[in-house]
Amino acid sequence: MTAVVRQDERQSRYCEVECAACGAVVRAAKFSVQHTSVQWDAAAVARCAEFERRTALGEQTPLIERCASMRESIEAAALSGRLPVAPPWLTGP
Amino acid sequence: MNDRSGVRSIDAGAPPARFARGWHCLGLAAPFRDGSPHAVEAFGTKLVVFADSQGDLHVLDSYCRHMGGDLSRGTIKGDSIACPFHDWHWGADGKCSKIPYSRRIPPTARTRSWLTLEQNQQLFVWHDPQGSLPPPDVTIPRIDGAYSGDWSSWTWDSLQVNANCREVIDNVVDMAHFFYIHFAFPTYFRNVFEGHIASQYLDTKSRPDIDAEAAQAAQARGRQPGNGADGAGSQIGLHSEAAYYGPSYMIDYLSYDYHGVPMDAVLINCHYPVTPEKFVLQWGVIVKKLPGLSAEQADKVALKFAKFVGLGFEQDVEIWTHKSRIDNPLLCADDGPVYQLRRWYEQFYLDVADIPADMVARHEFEVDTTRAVQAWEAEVAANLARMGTESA
Repeated sequence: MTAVVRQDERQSRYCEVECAACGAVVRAAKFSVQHTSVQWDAAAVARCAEFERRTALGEQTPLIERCASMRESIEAAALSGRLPVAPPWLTGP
Repeated sequence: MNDRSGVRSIDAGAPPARFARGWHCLGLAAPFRDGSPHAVEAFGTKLVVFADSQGDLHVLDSYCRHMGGDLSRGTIKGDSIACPFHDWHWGADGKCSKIPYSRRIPPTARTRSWLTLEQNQQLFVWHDPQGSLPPPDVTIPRIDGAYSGDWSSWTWDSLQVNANCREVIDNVVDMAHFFYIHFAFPTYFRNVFEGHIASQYLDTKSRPDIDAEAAQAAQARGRQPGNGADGAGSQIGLHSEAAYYGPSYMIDYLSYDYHGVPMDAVLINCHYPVTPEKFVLQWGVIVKKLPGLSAEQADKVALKFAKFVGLGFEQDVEIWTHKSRIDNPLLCADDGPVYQLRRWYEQFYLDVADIPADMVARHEFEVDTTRAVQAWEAEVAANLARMGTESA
């Protein structure tokens, strides 16, 4: 069996954001000031300093709500205009 | 998705032909230890659960490989389950251990034995269409409260639902339905999916309109209205951290205000599939004992909370049993990550080797609740005004 899973139609401009604290790079999108969508890859999770510190203390990364530094970096990117804050548009016919 | 006249169509799709890989909770363990075999219809077949002479629980396919008798209608004999049809005995390992009327057991006399796990006083079976064992990190975590005298006993309830179990999974990301279906008022909503775990962080505030309605109904029945503790609907500032560990077992750690006292509760929301179009939904609650509360009182608090949760699930079921399956939900900007959740969930229906890395990579999604909170505050105010007019 292979995966046939649909993609979210709410296309938005995902931008790379680098964490100012540790250099981990994620892809982030913001439909609005409060909304945030963040896609990590395994390399970014492995690089994240906060995740590393907390997993060393026995936590599992899936149960960590967020990395505070990455959130700050994403908010800074949005404030500076590098990360667009815009509602998604629909693709397709 | 829209035709030439601009009309959006629903792609209902079809439920997957196979069942999810993972640990599935069959219920509290203790009731299975009453000396009788128990039937569980699950995974498109019937299972038998029985306790051996040491009290260890075992799960086998219930249909006897001899002539198809139903082992769950049979008898526990020693460490085996005996078929009511011809008394063939089957051991925990799935091997036929005895055929009283025969000199010899056929070498092929072996049935399916299911891997079991007991955790949190609950019984789990491992389902894997590929027949593999679970990796060590794919397990059911221990809930400390379930092993502590400072907590109540488990409540346990279940409902059979005529729908594919993806419907209950979708709740993980469905912020708005908490207002319309579960009498809650979400103010904060965030999801994280990574590996085999899908989390939901939810803050809700109280619904004074629901409490007022409950109070009116209580008065109409000639009772003291009570202050909603009856329905846990009056919780102020409820904070919930819930996570699915695999495809079917969610642990929800809740903290809320109970008569001005901080309360801690754990809610289990789990299910197992019966057929692709039917599943059994189960939920259980434990609450931390308040100082000065007896074990019986704590159990009562847990029962009240479970009852409130049950009302919400009954409303879910009303929706699920009448709605269309939909593979192409039409989302607005303020909906949660339905597609990303379903992509995470799909991993349990694929062979392990076919799971792409990005399907299980970490994804975070925080919903903007600003507009929802505005709209719902107005709706609550309108409800209260209407109730005020009606009772005047």
